[in-house]
This record gives sequence, structure tokens and C-alpha cells, in this order.
Amino acid sequence: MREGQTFGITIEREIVDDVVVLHLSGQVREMGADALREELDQVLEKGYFKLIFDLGDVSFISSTGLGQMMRVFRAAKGNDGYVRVVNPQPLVEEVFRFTKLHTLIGIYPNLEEALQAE
Amino acid sequence: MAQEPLEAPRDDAFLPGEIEALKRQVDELSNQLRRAEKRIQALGGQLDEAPAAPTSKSDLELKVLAGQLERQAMLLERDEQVARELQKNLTPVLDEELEGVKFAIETRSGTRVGGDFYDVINLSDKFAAFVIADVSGHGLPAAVIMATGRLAFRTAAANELNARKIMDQVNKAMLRSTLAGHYLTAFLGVLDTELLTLQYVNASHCSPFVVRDSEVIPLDTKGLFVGMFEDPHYEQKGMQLEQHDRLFLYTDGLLQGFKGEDRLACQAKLAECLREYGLLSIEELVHNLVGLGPDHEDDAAALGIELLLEKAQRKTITIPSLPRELTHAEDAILPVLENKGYGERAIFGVKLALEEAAINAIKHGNQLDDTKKVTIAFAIDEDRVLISVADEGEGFNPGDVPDPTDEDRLLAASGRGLALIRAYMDEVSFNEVGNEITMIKYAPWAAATHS
Repeated sequence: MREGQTFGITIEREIVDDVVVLHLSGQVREMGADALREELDQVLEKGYFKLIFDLGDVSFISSTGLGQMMRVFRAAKGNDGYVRVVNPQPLVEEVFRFTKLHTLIGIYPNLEEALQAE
Repeated sequence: MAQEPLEAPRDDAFLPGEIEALKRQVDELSNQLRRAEKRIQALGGQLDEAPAAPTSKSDLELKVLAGQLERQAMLLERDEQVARELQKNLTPVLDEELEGVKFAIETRSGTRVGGDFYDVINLSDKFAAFVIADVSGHGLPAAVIMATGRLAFRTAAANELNARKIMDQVNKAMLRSTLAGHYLTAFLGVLDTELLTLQYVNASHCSPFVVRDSEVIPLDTKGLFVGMFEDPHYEQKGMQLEQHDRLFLYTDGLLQGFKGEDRLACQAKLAECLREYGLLSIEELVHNLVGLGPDHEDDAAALGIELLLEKAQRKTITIPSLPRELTHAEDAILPVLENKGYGERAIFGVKLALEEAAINAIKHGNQLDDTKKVTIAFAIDEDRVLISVADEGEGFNPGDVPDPTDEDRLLAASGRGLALIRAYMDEVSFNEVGNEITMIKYAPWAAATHS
């Protein structure tokens, strides 16, 4: 987590062929949600519908974060794309399981597997 | 009819041996009941054999039949006495050790023994449960079910603090054991004697009331009576009590003292009465209300509870309706939990629930109007953290919120907050209006008995 980002989120975008990998760090929640919202809008506008969220450095996620992911999931689904999650910390992964979103969003241990998955 | 003594001289109401003693009593009574039923069946058989037109029988035969009936009636009368005896023996002695809580209890015997019972159970040094219930029917069957019911509550409460879960367990136990067609209505409250929160489940029992100054608040929840249905859909509600609040619990025999078209009308009159005489001591209130009206067929019981204790100190943080302001509440709560060793998992859960509750309050309650406030109150001790979040909105009915994990809702971009709160916190309740949520999370070492 970076200095001054305690309650916020940092987003780094990486493009691998037609896939956008978003390396998130910090907390994916209401505070800082605008940054994620704008980033996702841009990604969708550019026509990327294959998204991988690298959550390795995310310590906390709330329903706001899940909501953003479901928003892009719906767009991706209608455009032959996907939304995948990579390397979530156990407590973060549990949030996906409690809300059953892991049944829609694939959760992978690392980026390689997420990129290669069918 | 004369008042029954408040209590039978039982000295072991709260000792571990009591459950065994109760079990023995239930067994013995079940046997007696079976014998009684056989007699009743035999009697029924004789009546069936008796011809429809008595004119065809001689006087002698009729006399014999009448004599048999009389003997059966005497046996039934004896059963009635056994039932009465049982009811007396099961009357709990109230524990003086429950500091700061005053109890007042009175019962009135009707012409027939009913299945009224009440109980107060110490769950731990901080929690007490109280039950009032009324079994359908009269006589020995009702008394046996009463005994079974009281045992079921004691057993379920032995390692559970959640009112709804206790009621569910009791329902299951009663489903397995009740005689066909018998059921009970019951009210169960679990009181946190430090934070003065009350969690309660009302299984179709007549509404208990909280009397606070001139305010009288009924304690109702959804849910069917106990011992009839596989899933009676019990609902649990919670309420913040205050020092000097009184709770008035009773069985429906007491409503016979009020003239009204139906139970609701009688309850309304009782509520009016409580409002009017709210200044009387709890003992006087209970005594006068149980004594109302002429003799009745039904038994009646009333249990009054007065809170003498002060609520443990809570801290309150008020923030404008802006998400970033939530950090003030987090900074006040989370480090304390860390300090007390609650552990990463519990703290994650509390943080998530706090965010979900506060964001709901800001967005849905206060409609993002930053002139409106969100009030976050909390109390933390070695065993649990309580957080309540209130907004200035009109409130909502948590029962109206659909399950976000339903297949057709999984794709939604919102609507997961409340489900997450319920998943991560151990107790969740709302005020009547629905603009205040109260959540409790137990420390990992205390959680075993709570979940």
C-alpha cells in the first residue's frame, strides 16, 4: 500500500494482447470508488472486454467494489469477453464466495493461469 | 380464585442437574399421560357401544353407564390434579443473582389446568433469556407438553445465545415430541445485561410490551407457533432497552380480564392499561393485571421485568453524509479491536459491516444529503463489539430486501450490503422505523457459544 493511500486504491493497467490486466492495490471500496469507475469506463470505451483484476495487493473489498466488477462483467458477457480475478487474499476471496460471485467470476491463483484459461 | 403462591420451593432452578430432573419428570408424566389416554379411549369405546336411542335400554344399564362415566370423570379429575401439581413444580424460582434486573411474577389458576409456563435462564454472566409460553389445550396433555417445552428451551439455551436459533431448536424438539395436534405459542427474549440490548422472537404469542414512561411498545415478530411446522419462519428483532424500562409478558388467559372482540382488541386495551398505570411498580402492575376480572376457565400468568441497570457506556460519532467521513468511525473502532486481539478475520468483518451499514445510511437513508447526519454508536469489550448506525431517513423494511445471491440477482451492481452484514456479523437487528441497524460481532474466543 502506498503512502497516503490508506483508504484509497491504486490502479496500474497492463495490456496483454486483447486482455486488460488491472493491478489493484489498497482497498476496493466506496472511498476511492470513483477512480476505479473511471478506469473501467475507459477500458470499456476502448473496446476491451477481457478483464483480469489482480487483487494480490488488495487488503479489503466491499460491495461497492463487487458492484463495479459486476458492471463490467455484464458488459463483457455481452461482448464475448470475461472478468477474472487473480490471487485474492483469503479474506477478500471469502467476500466473493459469500456473495456467490465466484460462480460467475473465475478466481485464479496467478496471472498465467487466468490468461490461459478457456 | 385464590392466587397461587408465586413459586414452589425449588432450590435447583439454575443448577446443571435440573435438566436431568426435568427429563425424569417428563418421562414420568408421559407415562401417566399414556395411561390416561388409554382410559379415555376405553371410555370413548363404551360411549360408541352405547346405543343412539337410550329408550331401548333399561334404566339399570343406563345407571351402570353413568357410574362408569363418573369413575372416568374422577380419574380425569385426578389427572387434572397431577397436571396442577406438575405446573407448580415446574414454576421456576427466579435467580436473585441476576443483578440489576427485577422480576415480578404472578399466576392465576383457572378452572382447568392450562399449559402456561415461563422461565428465566442465565445464559452467561452477561446474558439472560426469558421465556413465556402457552400450550394449546388443557389438563394433563397440556402439562406434559409444558414440561417438554420448558426442557426444550433450557436445552437449546444451554449453548446458544441467538434467540432465533434457540426458537428453531425448540420447534424441532417439539415437532419430534409433541402429541399430535398440540402446539405452543411462545415468546423468547435474550437480554444483554450490559449493553441492554434485547433480541427477541415471538412465535405467535400475544404481544409482550415494553413500558417506557408513557410509551408502550409491542414486541412482535413473524413466525408460526411452536411444534407444528418444519419451517415456521421465525424472525428475530432487536431493541435497545434503557434503564428503568419494564417488560410485561403474559399468557392469553390474562386477556380474558379485558372486554374486546378479539385478541388484538384485548391487547390494545391491555396496552392502554399499561400506559395509564405505567407509574406503578412492576410488582403492582403484574399483581393488578393478573387479578383483573372474575374467575376464568384459563390459567393466566404474567412476568414483569424491570431494568435497574445502567447501559454500559457507548461512544457516539456523528458524521455528515459523506463516505470519506467514515474513516473517523473506523479509526475509533478498529484499533481497539486490534488491541484486544480480535484478530484479522473478525476485524475485516467488522470493517466490512461498518462500511456497508454506513454507506447504506448515507446513500439510501440520507439520500446523499450531506446536511443530514449519520450517527455511529459503539461499545467494545473483551467479548464483543456492538455497533449501531442510524440515519435521518424514513427507514426501510429489511424483510423487503431480496437475497442478492439468488440466481437472477447475481448480476446486479448493487444490493449486497445487507447480505454481507448478515454474513459477517453475529447479531443484526433494526429499530421499528428501520433507520437504525444494530450489529454485534463476538470475539473469536466468544464466538463458539454464539454461532
